[in-house]
Amino acid sequence: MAGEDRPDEGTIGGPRRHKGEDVIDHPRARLSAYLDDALAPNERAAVESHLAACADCRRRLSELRATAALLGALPDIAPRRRLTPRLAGRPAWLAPVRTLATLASGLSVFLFIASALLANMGQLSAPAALSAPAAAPADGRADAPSRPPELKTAVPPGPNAAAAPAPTAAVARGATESGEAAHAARSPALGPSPWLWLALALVTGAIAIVLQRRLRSPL
Amino acid sequence: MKSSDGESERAPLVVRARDGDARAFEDLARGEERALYRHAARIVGPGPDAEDVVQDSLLSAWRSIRSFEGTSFRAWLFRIVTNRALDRIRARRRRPELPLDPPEDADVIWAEPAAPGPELADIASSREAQVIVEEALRDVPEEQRAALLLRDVEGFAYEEIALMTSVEIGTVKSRIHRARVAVRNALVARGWRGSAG
Repeated sequence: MAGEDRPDEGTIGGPRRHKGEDVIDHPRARLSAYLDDALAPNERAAVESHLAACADCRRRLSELRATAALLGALPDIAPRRRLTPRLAGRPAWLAPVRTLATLASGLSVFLFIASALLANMGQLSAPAALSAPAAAPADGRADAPSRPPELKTAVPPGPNAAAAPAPTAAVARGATESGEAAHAARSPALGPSPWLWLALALVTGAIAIVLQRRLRSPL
Repeated sequence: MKSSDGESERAPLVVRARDGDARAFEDLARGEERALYRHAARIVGPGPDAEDVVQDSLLSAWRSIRSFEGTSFRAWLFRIVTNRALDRIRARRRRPELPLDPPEDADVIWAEPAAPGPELADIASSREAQVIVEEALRDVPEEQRAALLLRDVEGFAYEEIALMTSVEIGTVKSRIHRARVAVRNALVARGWRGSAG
């Protein structure tokens, strides 16, 4: 059979012409490629000459053409969300800043706990020192300048020891920051208030979370 | 043809995207995302699956943008989306259907109308015809369907489709023809006929 078929005229779905027979060889299998101008010139010419003589193949061709036109005119299907990843909105500094914010948040939490513990220890280990500074805020700000020596004695050795050789500085400090000085007396080595560290931890933690979400989201 | 539309206008953006300009890539992708979605939706079905296919494809395209060396950026995107969509459909099946392509010269069955109806050329804008076409497409094997969509909906040339789907051009011809005849059969089954003129 294969030897009898003309190899360049595959006749899918149509009667095949054998040697000596006069059966029309419909080039139906090539109608789509003919329609799309995807045939070699000799094949195209063969289909054209057949179409000129065959109303059945012309009708099939027109059906395929109408089908292709219908497909091309199908209404659009729209996605329900944006599908293009937001790549440009993700600058290179995002990841390092996220890491820094995370570390800063962790450090702040550590400092908060450390300073809170130190404050408590200060309170427990120096009850005597507490009595004088406790009085200072109670006396009010107006009294503070008149009692600089008392304030000076209330400050234990430590970070404030440096102020001792300079009484004038201590006076000025006592005049304006008597409350803080009293507070510092209770917590010798912690610098700012523990709550400041907590606030810093929350802020840097929030920044880290926001940046992380931005890095994670594909959109 | 749709496939060459704006390709030259896109060229500078493509160059910038290849150099790592994310904004240029976004502009290019945004211009195609609807077309990519409708293509994916007609292969895997509309909804989140098709959206994921397009989104994943665009991310993958961005990551491998340096490997793009062709002339048509649009064809490149459609190649990625088509392959991902076909992978998605195959992954849904427990058993892949074999063989995927019948021999090229296997018979294509042409349905004949029971009674002559309106001519196909007259119904191109008919809503009913569109529904029939969409339904008929769903029954066409996915490789054939993808090839037909790339041709008739997206306007790609046979050579481009062959490259995009990694098959011989003879296979592309066969797939497009089979799929088109299947859709034609669905229409003819409703009584429509082409004209012999």
